[in-house]
Amino acid sequence: MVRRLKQWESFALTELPMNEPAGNNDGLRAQVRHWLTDNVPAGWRQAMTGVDQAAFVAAQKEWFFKLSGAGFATPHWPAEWPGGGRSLAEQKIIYEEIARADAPRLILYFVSLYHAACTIMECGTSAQHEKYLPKILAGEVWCQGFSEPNAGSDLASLKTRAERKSDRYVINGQKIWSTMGQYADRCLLLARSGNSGPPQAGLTYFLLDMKAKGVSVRPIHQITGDDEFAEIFFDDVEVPIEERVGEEGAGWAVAQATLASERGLTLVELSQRMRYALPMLVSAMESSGVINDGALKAELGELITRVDAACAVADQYLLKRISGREAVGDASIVKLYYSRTLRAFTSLGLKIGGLDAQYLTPHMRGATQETGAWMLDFMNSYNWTIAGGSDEVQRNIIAERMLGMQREPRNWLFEG
Amino acid sequence: MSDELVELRDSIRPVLEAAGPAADLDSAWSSAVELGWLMTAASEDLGGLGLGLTSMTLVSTECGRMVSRLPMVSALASIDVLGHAADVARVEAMMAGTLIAMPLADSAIVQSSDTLTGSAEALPCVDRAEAFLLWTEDHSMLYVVPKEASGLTLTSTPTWDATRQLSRATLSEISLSTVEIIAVDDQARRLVARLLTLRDVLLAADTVGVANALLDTTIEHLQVRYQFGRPLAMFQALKHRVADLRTQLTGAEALLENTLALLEQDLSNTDAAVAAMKASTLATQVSSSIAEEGLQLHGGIGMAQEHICHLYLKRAMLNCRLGRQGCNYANDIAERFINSCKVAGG
Repeated sequence: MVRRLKQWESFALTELPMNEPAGNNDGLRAQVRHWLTDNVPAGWRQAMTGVDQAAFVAAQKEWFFKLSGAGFATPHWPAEWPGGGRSLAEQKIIYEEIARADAPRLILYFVSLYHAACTIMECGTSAQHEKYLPKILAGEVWCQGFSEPNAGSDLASLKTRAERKSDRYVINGQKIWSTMGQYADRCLLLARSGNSGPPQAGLTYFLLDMKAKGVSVRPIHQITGDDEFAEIFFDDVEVPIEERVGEEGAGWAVAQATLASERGLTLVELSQRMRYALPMLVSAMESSGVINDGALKAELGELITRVDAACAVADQYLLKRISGREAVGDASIVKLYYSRTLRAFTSLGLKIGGLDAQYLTPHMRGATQETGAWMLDFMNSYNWTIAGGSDEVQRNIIAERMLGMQREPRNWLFEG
Repeated sequence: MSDELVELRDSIRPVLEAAGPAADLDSAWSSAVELGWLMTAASEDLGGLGLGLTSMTLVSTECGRMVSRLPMVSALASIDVLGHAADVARVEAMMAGTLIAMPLADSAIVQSSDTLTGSAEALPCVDRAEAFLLWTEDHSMLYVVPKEASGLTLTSTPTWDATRQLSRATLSEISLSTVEIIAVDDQARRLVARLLTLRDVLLAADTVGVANALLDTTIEHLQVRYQFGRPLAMFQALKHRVADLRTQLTGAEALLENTLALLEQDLSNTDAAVAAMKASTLATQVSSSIAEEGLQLHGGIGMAQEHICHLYLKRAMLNCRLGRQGCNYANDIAERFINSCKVAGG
């Protein structure tokens, strides 16, 4: 049995006050808002509901070229690149407006525009800049090859081998959880080139061609019915030495550059998206006939407050970055606050949705975690408590590196 | 934070720290007056510092952090509002140490012909106060009642939080001729709205100060307390609880910061009131979690009077019951949001 989804269409977005420091960027905000009003594909949510992934990929490509054509896809790139040279404050405005306009998220291009581009810019050679950056601008899709079946939170223990053979490396092993890996042209690959010293020391970083001989990709069927992630298998894949980033054995440091590339902007965008999606809960309360339920109202009031706080946490973090006052652990708090709030949001939606939310609805693609198909949103909210450093890893970072709670000795290893 | 505000904080903190937690009120009050902390509530043309709302909340936060007995929430909010009523004489007197106390919780006073009857809850430091800033239930009149007014009864009952002295004021047909009316009608409504918003924000700031101090104390305890041959802080089960508390508190702090930025522009409108309600409801919720967990993580010593933990715990729990409806604003916040959706959706 399939029921139609209607929550998102049934309300108009409420205008919410923007909390920002003294506005000297009103011109940019107006410009971005105006452009988005004219260009966000009308009814994209409807159009992306019940379609296959190929249609989604096509729509993503179209939106990418529109957005990059207007100069809003690469605000974090240096000024010499089209669309680049924006300050963090300006980038914040662009993302806030994208959230406000409920524009599609550039899920397919996130790794290429942020992870790949920032890693290459920061750690790549000038030859690598020239070879890869224009292709990324031209719409090349990249994926990340970091996690392995036995190396998740403990990333440094990864085992995919990179063996040096004259002017190339030979890669053997397996990666997992590569977002959109099945559509990727290239892969940011972290592999083991040596076994001496601490586990971090033996890693090397590559920009691997996904069409190279010996690479095979298998989509992972998720509990939501989607397959946004893939497993990648490497069977004697040859990578020329020119595709190595940094020195052999310096991969861990390069990977840190990759992971630091988001600079808090993603969570500014996503927490604002969650804020603009709050009326969905009201709409759901109305359609479920529980709009006058006092207990649910109190829960809604608490959630609204938390969502505002999630936006404030992201705002304050970015202000800290802008003024150079970021401290260790700050980014972990932003992510943990967002992930827990998103779980609370989707849990409340699921509760309000009642039995209706347990019936299957057509899948809406590219809509982050706020589609109004509450069971789907609830399951998707785990993306943020597990991926990109699980809540548990963030808590360790906060407790140990920020609050100075003592670490366990390194030699407490379980022989197994 | 601006350089001036950092300077202000750095001048307040050592004084409060030197006096110690829950220090004697008389000497604390003289220092606060001498050092000009009350001047944060007035603009420069009234002889104040003119550093805005953020400087007032900073004073309140520091007082919370050291569980100070100073009645700062009441004093600062009253000075600000009387300043906005252009009551220059009272503002000057109050900055010089005269305390006009206001209720920190609900009040219900009605005007009937030319008398005032009703009660106001949680007036701080009535022994020191010379008069009380009160308002009618419908916010149509804001006035100062002198302590000696006939028909005014003050009932003081000790609270578990020994850093506060709270009293109930009962007004029994107090003649309007014995009170000084500050404002009536629309002006009164605007000023009372300002007062309540300010009170919420200052309470949130005090609460954030209390919560931070208690969390710091808890972490320190876990770092130095050894069991099973290692510091308690090394147990991941405890680390994760503390990390969650720190994360929640960062949320309350960030929301307060964002709220201040919004309120600096306008303190009297409805958006400001809702923003302040959100900031105070989140701060009190988070601080009560930190109080509950903080005591548990301290173990046995947390139950002993000799340890500072209980001072924070009691103040945090009391703060959760101040403000309108004991800071329990979740329903109001939801109602207003639901209504705004209806307006937007047509």
